[in-house]
Amino acid sequence: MPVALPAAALYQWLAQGVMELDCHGVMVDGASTANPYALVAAAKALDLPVDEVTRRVHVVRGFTAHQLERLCTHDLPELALELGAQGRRLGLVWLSGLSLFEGDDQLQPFEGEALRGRSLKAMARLVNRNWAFGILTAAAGRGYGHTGPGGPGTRYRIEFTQEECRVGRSLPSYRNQLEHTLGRWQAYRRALSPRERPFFDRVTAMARAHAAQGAYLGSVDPIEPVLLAVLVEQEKRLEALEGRRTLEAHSAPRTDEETPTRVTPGDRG
Amino acid sequence: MALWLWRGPGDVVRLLEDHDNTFYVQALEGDHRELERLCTEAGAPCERVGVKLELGRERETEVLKVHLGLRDERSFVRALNQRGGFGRYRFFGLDPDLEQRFLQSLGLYPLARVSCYRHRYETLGSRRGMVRPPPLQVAELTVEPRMMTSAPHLLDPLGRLELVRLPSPGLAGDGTSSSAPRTGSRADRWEWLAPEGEHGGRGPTTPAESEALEQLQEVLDEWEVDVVVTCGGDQFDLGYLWARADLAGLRSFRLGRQWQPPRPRRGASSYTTYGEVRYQAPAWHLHGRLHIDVRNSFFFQEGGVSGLIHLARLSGVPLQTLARSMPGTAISTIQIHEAARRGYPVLWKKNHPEQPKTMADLACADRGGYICDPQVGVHGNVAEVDFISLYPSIMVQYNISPETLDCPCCPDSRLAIPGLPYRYCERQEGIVPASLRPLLATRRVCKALSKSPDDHYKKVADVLKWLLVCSFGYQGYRNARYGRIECHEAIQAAARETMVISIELAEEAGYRVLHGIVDSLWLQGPKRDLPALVGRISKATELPLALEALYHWIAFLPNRSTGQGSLTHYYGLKVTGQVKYRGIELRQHDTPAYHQRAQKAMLAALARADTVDGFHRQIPEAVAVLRDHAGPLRRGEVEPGELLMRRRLTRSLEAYHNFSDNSAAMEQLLEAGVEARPGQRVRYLVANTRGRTHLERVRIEQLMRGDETYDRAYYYKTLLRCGESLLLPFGWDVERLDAAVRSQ
Repeated sequence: MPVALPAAALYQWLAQGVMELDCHGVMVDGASTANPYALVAAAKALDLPVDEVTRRVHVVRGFTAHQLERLCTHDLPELALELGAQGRRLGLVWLSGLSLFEGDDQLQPFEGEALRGRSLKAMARLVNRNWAFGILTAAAGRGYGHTGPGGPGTRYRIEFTQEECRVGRSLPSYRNQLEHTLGRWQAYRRALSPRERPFFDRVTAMARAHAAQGAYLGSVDPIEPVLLAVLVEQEKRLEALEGRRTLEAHSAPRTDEETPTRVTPGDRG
Repeated sequence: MALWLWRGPGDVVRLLEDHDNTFYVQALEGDHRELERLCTEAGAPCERVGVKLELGRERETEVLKVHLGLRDERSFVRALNQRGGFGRYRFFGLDPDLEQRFLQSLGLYPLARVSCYRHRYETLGSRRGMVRPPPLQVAELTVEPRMMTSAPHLLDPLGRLELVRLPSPGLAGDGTSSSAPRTGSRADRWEWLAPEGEHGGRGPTTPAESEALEQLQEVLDEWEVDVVVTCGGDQFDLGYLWARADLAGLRSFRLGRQWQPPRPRRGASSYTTYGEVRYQAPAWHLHGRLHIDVRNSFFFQEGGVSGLIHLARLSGVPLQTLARSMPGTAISTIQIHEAARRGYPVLWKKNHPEQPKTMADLACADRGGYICDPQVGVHGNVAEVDFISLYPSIMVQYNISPETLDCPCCPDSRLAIPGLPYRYCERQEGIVPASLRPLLATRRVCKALSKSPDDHYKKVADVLKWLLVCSFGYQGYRNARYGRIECHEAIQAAARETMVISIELAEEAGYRVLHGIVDSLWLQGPKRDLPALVGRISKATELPLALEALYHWIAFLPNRSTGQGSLTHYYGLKVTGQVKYRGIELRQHDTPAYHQRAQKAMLAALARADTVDGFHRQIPEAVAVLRDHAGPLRRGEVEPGELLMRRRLTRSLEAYHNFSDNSAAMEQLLEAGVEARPGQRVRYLVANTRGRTHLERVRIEQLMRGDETYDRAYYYKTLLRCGESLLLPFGWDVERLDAAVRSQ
């Protein structure tokens, strides 16, 4: 039966699979939905090493039905061979965006079916040959079929949904990713006391003020640039404060009462 | 096939040429015998030939060349593809379309200067060079039905026909200003008006009407019109004229120089691009004349007839097709021609996917250009420097093309992309850079030569600019013939590196970088050293940087929700006295005219100061301007015509879940009998945002009589927001502006 799965579950499947089975995985993306940040989030949720997971999960993107078919019948088997030559195994295959075989404007009647049939056959062959697990999805997380290391008689059950295939760049930009993270943190802000909230807002402002540097870093972990931005901004404030203190030390005898207001962590006013 | 030659004013000849429509087909399993049998059975002779198929390689592969004569190839190829199970056969040489391949086979291109003798043609002069367009006769055709309801309908009787001669593109000036025809001798204008009084209502035509249609045809011939310009001809006018002629029984009615079947070349459609629904009107091509619909022609709006002619010659796309296409089509065709020149036919249904990469590599590779976080507020003494055509220049500089990526011939190429594991061929220039290089050069020359805004060179430069802009995005387009994601990624990586180097050099020279977006930088510092800095950056990056503008002051605006600097919202006063603004309501098409005027007046008030201090002193002045505009608006004295919202309908009526201004407008359109498709634009007045029925809520432009009342609170609020967008960094938000307006 078709089951609706959230995309996060599929990314967790990939992350956990490549680590526990000690193999490599691939996402064949026909819907421009591949999202490394979601994989990182999955790895973190499962307490797995992010670097290792993102290096073990590969992605191949096809933007038309013909490209997707070529991926399944040619590039994917080649990737498996290449990995095999390095002594690694392709153990997980996730084919996403099967509805591309229906919604492509370049297709003539019956062509989509033919391409899809060939792609699925090639997938099954690959899965069987590598003793791998495979998942087919229409849109990420919407309906799935399952091919285990069964025989060639494995049955597919696929639910089709219409989805728009985006063009060119398909990854969220760092700025979008940052807003997503900060949006997720709003719950944290809500739990803070009203007195503490301005400090939280200052932290998010620090993160936003260094969006350019975060984007340039190109880190797969979206939290890393946030932490760096806050550290840099705090260094700047520290220096400013130290400068003021030395200035004060030179000009007048220092009084401890003049230090800025301190807030005890966890202080709920 | 027919070839139309223009030999001088009023001297146009139609020549018939034989054409053999051919294409290549390759059997992937290497056995051509079955293919040969299939083609021969279908009556298409074929032969085995060697053709270069892999871009960048000289190796020839044996394929079958199929001759179809004058038959159309589409149904033939589809049937053959199906017989091959959609995968056993690969087809080549089916692009560009038939007309272009016909011209190619004769060694011609559209609007070429030719000498011809007994079916032999020779082109004269350079294809890429600048030419003065020939003195074509241009006339604007206006068609007005006598409307029975609020919207025009094919069955409405004819009300008015007008033909006005426009200045020829070959002479001084250009035919773009359609509303300002030359007045003068009687022969420059022809008009037909329906006789007053009785008419048959919708349906049958009157004798007067068929006479009018015959007259129109005669005048077009008499004036020897070469280019027919209409405003909305594709959408309605031409289809309407033919429908009337059909009703009147005028079977031989024509608008071109030759009779043609009365149907458009391509039907109307709605399509989705970049998440936006667009509407495309049908394409009415004429035979022996050129029909340009101003509303349906991006290139005509940008470059006029001169731009179109230059581009048609350069790209090889026939002018009527080109007038209706987007820049991507032109750039793609130029690349296809470049490939054909080198002897590579184009693969039909490209299937080259992205190379496999790990998720970590993908996150690193799939990124955009470098964008700084601007410093919110007003800054004095600022210079803007821009890289000229940055992305196309990078493609040429780094030789970025699908077939030059990781070529086997240069494993140690110097053309490595900073930060990404890609390198590009050093030995051979790729197809993409080779087709861009002349465009860049021509644009540079045209820009240097252009003086007035109405200039021939300026128009060509404008059109070329759009081609260059699109050439980058086209690399990431899924159906691009010569596009590849890795190229798309490489270009952006190189652009990021370029910006970072430039920022480093600017800071080294003592400048403060206020903002930077992909290819522009705003620098604060001494004006004197700027030329030296620009030179140094150009030299270090090997890409052309230019000083775009000097500003007395420039204000970077904050993002309303976060308060941080918005990346694309700013306005500033150039030292030339001109105000440049981006991202504010004045630039948005859906802002009512009244609000745009108010915002413009506020900017003008601010622009009276040429220092930062003066700017701050002018702010109360700007608030006063806002107050002056808010008064009549709140009293309900503004003309409803100035408050029209212009919106794009994004979906069909059934797809609207909530009752909104847009859905109400669409309902009203449909009720008025206007065809309303997703992607079309509609203009309407917001009458009452709390209205329960569509008539209470909005009023579409077509139904307006001029005495409507508008939603004062709604328009007042939007006006305050226009003020806020300019003054928010200086402490003026909607509440404070509201208080200031009401205090009077």
